[in-house]
Amino acid sequence: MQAVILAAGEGKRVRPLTRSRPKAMIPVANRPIIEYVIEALLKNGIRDIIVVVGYRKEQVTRFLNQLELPVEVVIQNKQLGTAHALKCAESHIKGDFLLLPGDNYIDHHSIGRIKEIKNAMLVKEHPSPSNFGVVLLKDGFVTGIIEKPEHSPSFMVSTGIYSLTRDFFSYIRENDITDAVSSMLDSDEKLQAIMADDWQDAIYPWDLLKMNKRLLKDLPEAREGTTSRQTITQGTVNIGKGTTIGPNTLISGPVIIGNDCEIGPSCCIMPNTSIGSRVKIEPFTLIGNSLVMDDTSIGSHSRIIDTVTSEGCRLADHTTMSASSSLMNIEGEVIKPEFGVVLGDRVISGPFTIFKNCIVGNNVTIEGGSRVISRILPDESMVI
Amino acid sequence: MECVVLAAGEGKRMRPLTAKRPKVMLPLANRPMIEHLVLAARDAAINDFVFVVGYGEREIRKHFEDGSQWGVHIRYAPQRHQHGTADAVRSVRDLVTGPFLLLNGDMIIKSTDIADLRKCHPPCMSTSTTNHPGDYGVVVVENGLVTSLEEKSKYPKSNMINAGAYHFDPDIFDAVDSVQTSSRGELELTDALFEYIAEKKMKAHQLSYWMDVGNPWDMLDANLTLMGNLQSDLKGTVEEGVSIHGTIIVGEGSLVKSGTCIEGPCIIGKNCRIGPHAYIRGATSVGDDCHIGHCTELKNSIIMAGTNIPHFNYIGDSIIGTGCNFGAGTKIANLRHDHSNVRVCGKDTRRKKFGAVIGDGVQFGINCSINVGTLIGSNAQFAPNSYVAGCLGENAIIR
Amino acid sequence: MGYIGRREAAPIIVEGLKKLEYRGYDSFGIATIGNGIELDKHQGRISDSSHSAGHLKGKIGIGHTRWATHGVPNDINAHPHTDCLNQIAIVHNGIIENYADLKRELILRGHTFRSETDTEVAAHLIEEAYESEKDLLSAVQNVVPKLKGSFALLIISKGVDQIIAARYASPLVLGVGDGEFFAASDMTPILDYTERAIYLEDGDIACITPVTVEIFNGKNQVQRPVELVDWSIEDTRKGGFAHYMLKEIYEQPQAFYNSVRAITRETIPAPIRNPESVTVVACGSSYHAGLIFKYLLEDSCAIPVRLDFASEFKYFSPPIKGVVIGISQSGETADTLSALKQAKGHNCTTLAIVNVLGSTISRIADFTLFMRAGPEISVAATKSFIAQLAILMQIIDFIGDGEYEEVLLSGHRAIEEVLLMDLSGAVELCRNANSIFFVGRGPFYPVSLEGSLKMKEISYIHAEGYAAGELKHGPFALLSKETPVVAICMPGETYGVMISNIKEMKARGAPVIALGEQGDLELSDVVDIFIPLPETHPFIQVLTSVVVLQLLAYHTAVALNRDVDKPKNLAKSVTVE
Repeated sequence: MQAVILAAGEGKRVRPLTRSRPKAMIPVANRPIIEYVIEALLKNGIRDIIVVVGYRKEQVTRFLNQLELPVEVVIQNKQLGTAHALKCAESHIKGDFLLLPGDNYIDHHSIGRIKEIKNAMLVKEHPSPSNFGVVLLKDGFVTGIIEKPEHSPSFMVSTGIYSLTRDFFSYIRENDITDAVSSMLDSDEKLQAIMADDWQDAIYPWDLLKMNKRLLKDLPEAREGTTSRQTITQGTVNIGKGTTIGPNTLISGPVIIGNDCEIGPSCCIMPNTSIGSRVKIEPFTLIGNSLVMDDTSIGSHSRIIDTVTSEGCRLADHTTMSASSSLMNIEGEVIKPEFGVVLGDRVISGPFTIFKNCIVGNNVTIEGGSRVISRILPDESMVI
Repeated sequence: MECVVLAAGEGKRMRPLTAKRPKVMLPLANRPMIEHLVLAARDAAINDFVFVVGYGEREIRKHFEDGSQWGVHIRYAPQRHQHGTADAVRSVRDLVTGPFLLLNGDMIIKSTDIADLRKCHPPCMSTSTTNHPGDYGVVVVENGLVTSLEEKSKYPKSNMINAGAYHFDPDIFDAVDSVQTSSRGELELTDALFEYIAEKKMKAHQLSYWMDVGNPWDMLDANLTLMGNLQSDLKGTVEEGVSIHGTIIVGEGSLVKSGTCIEGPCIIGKNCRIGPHAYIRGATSVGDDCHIGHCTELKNSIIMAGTNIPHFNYIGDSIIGTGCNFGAGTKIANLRHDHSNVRVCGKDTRRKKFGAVIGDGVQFGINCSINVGTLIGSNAQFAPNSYVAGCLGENAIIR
Repeated sequence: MGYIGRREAAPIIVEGLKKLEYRGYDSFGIATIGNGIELDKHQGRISDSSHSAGHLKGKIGIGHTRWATHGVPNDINAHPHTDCLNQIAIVHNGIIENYADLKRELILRGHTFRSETDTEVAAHLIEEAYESEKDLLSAVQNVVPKLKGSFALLIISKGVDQIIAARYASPLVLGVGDGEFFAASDMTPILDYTERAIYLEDGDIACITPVTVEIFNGKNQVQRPVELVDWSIEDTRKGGFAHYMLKEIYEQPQAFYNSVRAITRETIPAPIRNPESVTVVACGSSYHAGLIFKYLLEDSCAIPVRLDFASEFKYFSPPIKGVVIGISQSGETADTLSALKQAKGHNCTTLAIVNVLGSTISRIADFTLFMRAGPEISVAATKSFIAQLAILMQIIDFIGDGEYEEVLLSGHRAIEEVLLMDLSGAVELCRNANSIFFVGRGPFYPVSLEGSLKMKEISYIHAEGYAAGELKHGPFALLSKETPVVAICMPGETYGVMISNIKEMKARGAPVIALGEQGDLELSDVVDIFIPLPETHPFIQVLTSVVVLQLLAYHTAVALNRDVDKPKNLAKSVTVE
């Protein structure tokens, strides 16, 4: 059986994290989301994998290249929609296939169940269905699908994961999969609905923390690098090669720390934290429930909670980050989410900066002593 | 007759013990696993071997060279990429001339069984029984013929499994050529056998004894089994006042100092220094050039060459790599307080008692405490008084 | 590539030649001893053809993939070459310099030549000697002293169960199997079968049978050690990239990072840590890396650096002193090799910077630093260039007592950053140009040389790298609307003059593409297309500007539909002088 993974879209709502990579390549628990999808397929013995790339395709391809299993890469030159992306892969598809989004986590048991059935969709209940394709069910079959309705008739949504036959291509008229599914239902084709066990999508950047928490649950324990005898570790802790942990550091798992990091002495790494490679954390800093990507450095006496930082940020000492909620306009949509801080690539901030409930764009420079509260700072901006 | 031995894999599940050697070179009763196999085959009058080698090829070549030391002739067929067993068989095409035996290098099998398999007309597959058939290829045998073969089945049809020892004709080479990549991404030999099975040609040969070593802790059982066949032999010097019970082998140049108590079965390699006052308990093998010193207790363990356990140590139900050094007072725990099965890196060992798996060149300071089920990668280093638990990678340092 | 053993030779040789194709790819051929000498040769690339050469029978065979030196690439000029009677077949790497004289004599003695190659001479000479000696080995031993130049030869003859191998100044390695032997220019095709190798030395002639090898130097039998080669064959899949070059450009952050981390104070040999003077010899892109090194080391540590093209090194004869550094991606570049040998002759300490473990240069030099670029397939050097710079900068850092450590450890981020750059405007300007000038000052002068080299190599557009100040000493006359100028204009002491140079060029009507630091409004106002590079240390700006110029060349070549990975008339590693 073949599988098509769609990884061409940018994922605009998780900006600013998608400047240098599409959403599928955002590292969660130190591995790109798409890697979990591929892993779930491999566990089901599906090895003929096609990945459709588009936005920042070189970054995705570079990653796919270094996987042990060779995957077929198909390029979508313009990101017109999911059905269009699938169509790009049409000539590679020989028969029945699975279709999966590359930027959602899915457990391998669910794939095991759907792969046996021709024409099926994985569905799952979601507390905010309006962000997805809402499905209407009858006797375990899909009777209708409504894309992102304002007032949702049910909490049951499509995960975007389908088991399809080649005939599906004949229903593709517009650029979205949902349209094709609707026209498939219109012509009285049956589409079975299968419940997914565990499916995670990050709609907004702060949702990545929830996904991170979930994926850290399956973290294998492993310790490389140099740790001090006075380092206290609790729970599952995974530390990479060449990383140094200074004395009196407390690491309370689940926590993953990548390669060549320098942490401590006297830091606190609290549960549900992922730290990438070459990250530097100076003494007396506390990090918890956060996702810190590669090459970032965080100054001493900082408090980093509920935070997603992209690559190469440089935060000076006494930085404080915390959560709160306020009205925000994200890609034209006004919402009132409660979250902490999201930083783009290469954000540089001075000492004694306070961040609270904000999204900071790429290449933003913030002068020391600033307070960034409930704001969205665009890329390349400066706060003086 | 020629005998092809598959010895190319690293044996990832045996990590970290396979850092410097392939799985088949891991010592059981102080000989590499594959040497036991060669000896068994030799006793079945097989003298011509082709080893399919890959990972750790050098270690195997260095040990066996052309095999003349064992009175056999060994050739090597390197398999650079491990694409699976069918691919390994392909790599010996043109290198074997007639019907041949094909043996997995990581199993323990008796020479009488090899002799019987040899007599069985090819193609012939050896079978064995196990209580966890789901981990292997499950076979169904009717009237001496294999009628079904299913890999790693969730619902095994029987407890009879494919033991990984075959007698083939050269026409197997055409069969393996047509093998396609399986869902596990490998070229699997068993896929080449279905045609034989369908044509009712594949004979089955039930082995009287068979054991494979899948995980490090399986080595302890295999070690015990292989030591069962030994006769006492004291080549080294045993001082007065050493108390010895059961089957004991002490290699040349080794010195067992007084006050030491050894309970067999136990093998001590060459040029070791044991005691004074060491206590070595049953089913322990100690490699060459080791030092087991004063007030050290060993029990049911495999200690590889060049490791020093010199003062006040306790090591039970553990596997220790080469060139390790234990500081005074460093001990390994081997029993959980809740008496449940010991788990190593999340895997159930199915053993109530298990200590640690320790790679090569690991150094412990004095008074380190190693918890049950710890796995330590090669060349890790631990400062005095460290508490060591869980899964530690290569070169990990606690300081 | 040659094989002798118990397996069918042709399939092994076909696979091997595919792996050797980077050495040359304009024609290929195979000969086996089956029913007499069986021969199959073709113009073109072995990887393009579906040739399995399955019809060639026999367990002894030789094969060759060629890069034309004498005679155009066609079926006839492809190796192997045979004698008049089709009884002896021969493949050859290198150049026989006196072939014209030998050929004339042979024709006078009644030999018929089929090809225009220098190699065929050897086949006929061996034919003559074989008639009188009746022994293939003695025949080759008689012929080899008559050949001048460089060669690695493999010879087979009908009815003789041997391969004779001869080497002089061209790499040749034997792979030792069990009851089989392999011979090739390097270990790449052999590693699939064995990791045990015998490196032949200059003047060696080896007589190989399936079970033994006897090596002679002159008439004396010699012993050469069997060495174990450590190179796990890395996967060189192109994956989803359209070209290896693009893949390798995108691997540069990693190549830089790995190379910097791989070299520590301990691994830098003592004579390099505090040298009095340094001489660098290199060819092509490696030469440009050397030139950047010269600028940076002289500027930051005040140590004089002499830099020479390896191919010109032998024509200078001043006293050579101090440390001599040879840079070569493949470690097989003939010119760099002979320059290092010459340096050793002057009792200099030699250091090699190479990417291939076990390569000839690394075995000749006193010390070797390995780049961690991984295998580079594309003919145009990209990540190996960045890895060379990583090592050279690391050397400067150690000489300068760790001054640049922080800077180098974060270099990969800046490279990653410029990979995101959109160059479509600049590409549009370049693709229609008939000539492009690349200009820069200081360390950016060699960067402009490298940029122009990449452009020439793969897009076939004429390009010239110039020191910006030199432009008005002649080339100014060539500037026009059709000759875009790519100017590298970074802040620093050269900035002011660069700006005025750019204004002069603009005044002559040439469109200017400028690489500058982001936020540089003064520059972006003057030029047609401004490419902003991240604000970093000058060392890193060298790297980022190189990467941008690689991408510019790449995208221009793609826009013009060029064969990026295998540009015409070029070979990856040049093993002739």
